[in-house]
Amino acid sequence: MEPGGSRRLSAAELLAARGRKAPQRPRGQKDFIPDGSAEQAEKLRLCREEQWQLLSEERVERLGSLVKAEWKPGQGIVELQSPAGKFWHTMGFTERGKQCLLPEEALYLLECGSVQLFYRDLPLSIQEAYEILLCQETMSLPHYQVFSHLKQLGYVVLRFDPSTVPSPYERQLNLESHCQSSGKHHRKRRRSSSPRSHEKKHKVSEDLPETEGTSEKAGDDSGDTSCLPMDEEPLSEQPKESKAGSGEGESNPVPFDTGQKDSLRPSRSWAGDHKENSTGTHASRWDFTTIILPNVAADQPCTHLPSPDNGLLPENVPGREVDAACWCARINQKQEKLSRKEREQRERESRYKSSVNADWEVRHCSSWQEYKALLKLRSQQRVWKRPPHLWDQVVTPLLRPDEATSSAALLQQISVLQPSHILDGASGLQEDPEGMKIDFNVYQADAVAKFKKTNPGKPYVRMCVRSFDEQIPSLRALKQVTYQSGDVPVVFALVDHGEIAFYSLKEFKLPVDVNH
Amino acid sequence: MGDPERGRVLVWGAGAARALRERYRVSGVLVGAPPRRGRGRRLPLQLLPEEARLLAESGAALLLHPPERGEGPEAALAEVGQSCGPTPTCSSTAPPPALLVQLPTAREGPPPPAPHPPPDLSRPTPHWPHGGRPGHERRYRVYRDLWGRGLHLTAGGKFGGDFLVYPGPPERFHAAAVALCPPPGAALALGALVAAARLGTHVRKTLLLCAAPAGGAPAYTSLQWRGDL
Repeated sequence: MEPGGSRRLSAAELLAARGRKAPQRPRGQKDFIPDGSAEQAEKLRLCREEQWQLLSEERVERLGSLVKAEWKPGQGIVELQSPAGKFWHTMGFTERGKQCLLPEEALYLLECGSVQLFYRDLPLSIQEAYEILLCQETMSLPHYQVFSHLKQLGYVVLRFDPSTVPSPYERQLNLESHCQSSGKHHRKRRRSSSPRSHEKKHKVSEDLPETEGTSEKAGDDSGDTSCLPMDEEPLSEQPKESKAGSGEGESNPVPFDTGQKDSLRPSRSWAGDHKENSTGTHASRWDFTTIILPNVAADQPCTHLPSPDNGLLPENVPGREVDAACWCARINQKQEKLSRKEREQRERESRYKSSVNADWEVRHCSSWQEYKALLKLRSQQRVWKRPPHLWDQVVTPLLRPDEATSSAALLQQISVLQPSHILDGASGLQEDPEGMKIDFNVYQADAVAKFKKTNPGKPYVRMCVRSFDEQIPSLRALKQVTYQSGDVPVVFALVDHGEIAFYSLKEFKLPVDVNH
Repeated sequence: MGDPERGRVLVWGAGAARALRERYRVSGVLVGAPPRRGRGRRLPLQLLPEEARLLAESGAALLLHPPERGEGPEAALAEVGQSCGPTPTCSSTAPPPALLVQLPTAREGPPPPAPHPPPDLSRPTPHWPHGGRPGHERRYRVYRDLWGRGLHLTAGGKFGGDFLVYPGPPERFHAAAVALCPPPGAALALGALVAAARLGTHVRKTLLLCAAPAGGAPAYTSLQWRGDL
């Protein structure tokens, strides 16, 4: 058996490697049956030659383009000794002023030929790096294989951190987009087995002007705390963002800053509320005991409308008083002219449809309650004879005709299985420490240009790495994981000794409203 | 030579990987990432536990454990570092950035010594948890039998089976069948059987149900979709 160590490349070979180009792979059609022909043998030989030429190539890089990095076993991270390259845009984090990489990121960059890893002042080969860096519980070989596969496809892959998932309430308020714009969202450090305590996440659902006092760990680059102090702002401005964030949905401040006249009644109550504004609850500013809105409905028609106050009208518009009595008499007098199509439709419908208002019993009802009582009375009076050949047998129909109001109701009555959603009952499940964990957040490849490490946004998908040796997850575990992920879909990456397959659960609804 | 680490076997040498494929009909999967301007996959080659066990038991390969993190590797690494670091520069200034550096794939230097006597792979150890597991033992017997008939086998997880059976090298031939090794004795649920058969049909491969009891002769049943009946 040949020795397994790498060949040491001579100086000549190193120089030759510089001019290497990626060889073209002849992708011919595969055959089905070996027929012993020379043609097949030749194709096989070519394929193998080319593959081995590729595999036996060692990685050669210019020293200047390699970033030096050192493995720190105590903290389980890799610290960069020289400035990072282009990869810093999507990978790595800063700690105590130094640029650091997670083990999987460092190993991937080593394989790409972007960094040179050192441990105890000696450069590591890729084999040694695999052995040394991938021995944590959270980052074992299958995890790394999934990470590497996704990175090669171009995705941005970060470790999952449960505390950064917004809760359903926060999502409802659309708090996430607000948080990120105000810059007060301090992210947890992306580290797996760090012994240090994690930072607290600050929820902006509390009132804004209070969080500057807490001391945060330095080093997070977005250090600007541009908050919106609510009490200091002049009232004439509209504090839009604080409104959205605090979730107090009562009467919004109406813009009174356009220099309205003082004859406005509401301005008095506004001044009265001025002091209460800072407490957050607002009383209604319109005093309806003094404002009179005329009632032009049919029960007590107010047909005499006085002239409006000149102060309320714009300059060029004159006001006058109106007697609307003659107009009221003329409402609905004009004969309706229907087009031919409408007439035909009406004729068709009149065969089976009748207007509710044509029923004199309905016209006698003066309120909804009376109408509903009438309907109930009618339904009770209806005598429906059950056909004996259907209903007197051992096997009876599932529905009576009056129960089948629509196709959806029909299907509901005869269904054997009830539809259920993966998240039904998921919020009440207890957290299971031995359960499945989400491993990675995956971000789209085409968003790389806009990607910001400090504010990655909502991931495209969350990845859960499993292997075929493990049991198929129970429904309970699936629900927990889906709930934990929030509104981001979860994909399961199954690793089968080097081969990866991706599975996810898709929701679908059977159609219930069938229109003929 | 391979390094089992919690039951995962990786082959790091290019020559070794080539010999495995050409001489021993063991394919494995390439799992390494390519260098920046490359495409496809590189070393290491990952083997199925069944493949590794077959090679070890037939004497074709040695299973080695990665050295423990302790005094051992330091000494080994230090020795290695002295003899073959990057091109040494005598001056105290930093090496020029145009210097070409090799990032070696496999560990340099002598391989760690093989354990004596060779471990019994039918017993589980921390490094080899597969030994003794009924699923693994079943699959191993089937693998050994099919391999002995001259077929090429790879992992079959993608098609819902245990192995994919090829008439020739997987680089040039399509898989002929998906092999499944159900547990003996227990009745195979019809739903599972239909599901497995459907998967095989969908990709136009035969489903092969395999049983290789320890003491007896192996038995195979093949299922194929007949659209004409």
